[in-house]
Amino acid sequence: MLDGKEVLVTGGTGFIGGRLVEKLVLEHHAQVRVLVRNFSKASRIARFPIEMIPGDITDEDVLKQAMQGCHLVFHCAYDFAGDARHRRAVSAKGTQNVAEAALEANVARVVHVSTVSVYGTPDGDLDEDCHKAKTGDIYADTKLEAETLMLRYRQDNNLPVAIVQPTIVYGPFSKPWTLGIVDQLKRGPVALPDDSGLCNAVYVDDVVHGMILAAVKNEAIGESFLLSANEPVTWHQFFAAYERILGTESTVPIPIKHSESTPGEPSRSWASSPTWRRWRKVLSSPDVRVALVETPVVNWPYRLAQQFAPDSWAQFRERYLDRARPPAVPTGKVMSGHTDRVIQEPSPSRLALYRAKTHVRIDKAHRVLGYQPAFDLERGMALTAQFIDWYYST
Amino acid sequence: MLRIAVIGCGAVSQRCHIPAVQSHLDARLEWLVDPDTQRLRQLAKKADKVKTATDYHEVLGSADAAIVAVPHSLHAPISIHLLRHGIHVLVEKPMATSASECDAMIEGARDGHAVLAVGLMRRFLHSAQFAKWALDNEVLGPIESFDFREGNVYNWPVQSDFFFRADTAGGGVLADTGAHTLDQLLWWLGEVEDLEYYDDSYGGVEADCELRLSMTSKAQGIVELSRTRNLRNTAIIRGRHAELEVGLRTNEAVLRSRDGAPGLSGMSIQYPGQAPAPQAFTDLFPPQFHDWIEAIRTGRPPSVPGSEGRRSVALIEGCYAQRQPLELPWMQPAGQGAGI
Repeated sequence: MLDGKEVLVTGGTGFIGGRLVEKLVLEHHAQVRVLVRNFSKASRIARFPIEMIPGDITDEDVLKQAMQGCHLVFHCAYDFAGDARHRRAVSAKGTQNVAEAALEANVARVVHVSTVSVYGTPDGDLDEDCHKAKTGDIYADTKLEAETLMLRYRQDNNLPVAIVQPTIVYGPFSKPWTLGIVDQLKRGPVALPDDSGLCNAVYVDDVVHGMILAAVKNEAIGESFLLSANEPVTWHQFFAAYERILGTESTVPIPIKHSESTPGEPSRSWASSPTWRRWRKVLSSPDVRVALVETPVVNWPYRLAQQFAPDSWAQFRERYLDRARPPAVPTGKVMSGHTDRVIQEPSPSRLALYRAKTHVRIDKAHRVLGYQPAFDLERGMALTAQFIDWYYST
Repeated sequence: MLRIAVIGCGAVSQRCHIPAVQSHLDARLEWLVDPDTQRLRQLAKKADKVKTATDYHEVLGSADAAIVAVPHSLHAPISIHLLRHGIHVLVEKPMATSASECDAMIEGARDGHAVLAVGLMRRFLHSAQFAKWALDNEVLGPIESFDFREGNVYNWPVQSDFFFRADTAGGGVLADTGAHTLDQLLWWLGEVEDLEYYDDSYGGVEADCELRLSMTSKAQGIVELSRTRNLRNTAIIRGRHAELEVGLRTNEAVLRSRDGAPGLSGMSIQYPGQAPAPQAFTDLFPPQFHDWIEAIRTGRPPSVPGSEGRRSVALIEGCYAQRQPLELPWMQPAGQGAGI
């Protein structure tokens, strides 16, 4: 269906966009154009006979020119650089430019790549009817704003747009969910909550497959589709798959009683609040702590606590005073070779994600698009293992 | 005082060639030539009394020598024109996109009585010169095998797409990084007798490639190059008695025995008459420029004349002629793509 069709990809030098370009050329024989902001990142897509157009999504004229004669547009671009204000501005302006240029070029379909994060991390089943709301996470919030903008263009201007919302996308060249995790595991122990949540992992090829279905199925217009694997796994299973590939045991369970974050509401947790983190940083200095306990107002309760509640005091000291991080204590698992290394603690937002028991449902994508994931964790990780072996062989 | 024209003012000229010219006492930066007038204006502000042009023909008659740092496909035509007009040329690597173009450049230099040098500046790494000495003097014993791996996640601040188009770059990582790596290999180990070549091009320019080589010396080995991975960036050369691991981009070398006896590890190999130096990438351009200027002044050949630059180009050409696909199992898994 895409044979010989002109297709524009924004964000084609990125992870998902890059794999999309590969499959559009290799499997669908499309005529692909990619808007390239930074040619330093173009090595992988330059392997294919595609047209690379210099420019970025904030340049209205370049986009209009790039879209001339295009049948399809995949909008994958997202700029992670800069502060929140900059990211918001680039995302909004870029999305608006893509929509405007697509209307002017009369393209048959725009596939807008969003994220599951627009729903937050609620426990239980999650589908496209679930409530979307800003969470304070800049990535999720800007993606939600972009989605909303696209849907407004659909409503007001009849833009033929379909939205895809991928979950945890792993596979060759995935920075957050493959390379990032492998690097972490290679560095040393990685803390995971022992009350492991669900990981809605999806192999990148399945996401690209879903994107292409959203581009060619008429029923997709004006709709959003969550793209994930058939079933989630646990985060422990996800990390364990990488541990098996690397032949290491690097994850360390954080006892649930030590983890105070509430899934979906990390900012409300006292332990992870910015104020406490700043204080903990100050208190991480031994000099500061010594000076503190020697001040009279602290000194007498300090001595009292030592004398009359030694266990509670020890716990308090271990958690809040002795070390800057981690607050949790590794339990149970025997680790060889890295017991003296710093345990890598997840950020508050990652901790919330790792604890959430969100079960992403892909029924709508299956029903409307005919989306059928081809990769379960075992199959996806088998290919990822070959990539990791190649990528890290120095 | 030699009047120098810099033709092509992209990243390598700005970072490396222009500072090398400006640091030399017997040379003056006379011309900056580039199609981008805005870039020319910015660069001219930083240089003293430099002339600018968008067409290299304008330098004829008022430049003695030219550094040619333009898209690879233009190396030969521009260099030949300048050389025939008696303008000495230091051309960036790869010298050209084919051996026949290299031959025409060498002929142009001969006809114009001009000095042609090739910008394979890694030959000025002290560790590379140490490796050459060690191999020429059979310090390792007869060479049995070698393993060259060079790569990093691409980060060169390219200012256009010419590096990524086959028609302008002449190829991908093999033509670009490989011009250096294969020059070092040929310089150290002699001629290639037989080769197999694999890369990941699907109709564009390759980002990763692998060469399996047999040398006329009977040594065998591999060369792996990458724009997508951080490789170790060293050459390991194994002789019967010892093995040498030498930095391909850095002034470092390790000499190890092959029977477990103690070895030597060196940072900053010392060059005779000079203090040990780490030799960063940009540090290699002033000695390269100086070598070329000395060749012009004295009539001796430059350290990397056209005949040497031609060797790696011919090998690159031979590789592309025998190209086979690099096996990357995740690229085309049996999937669900068909049928849409």
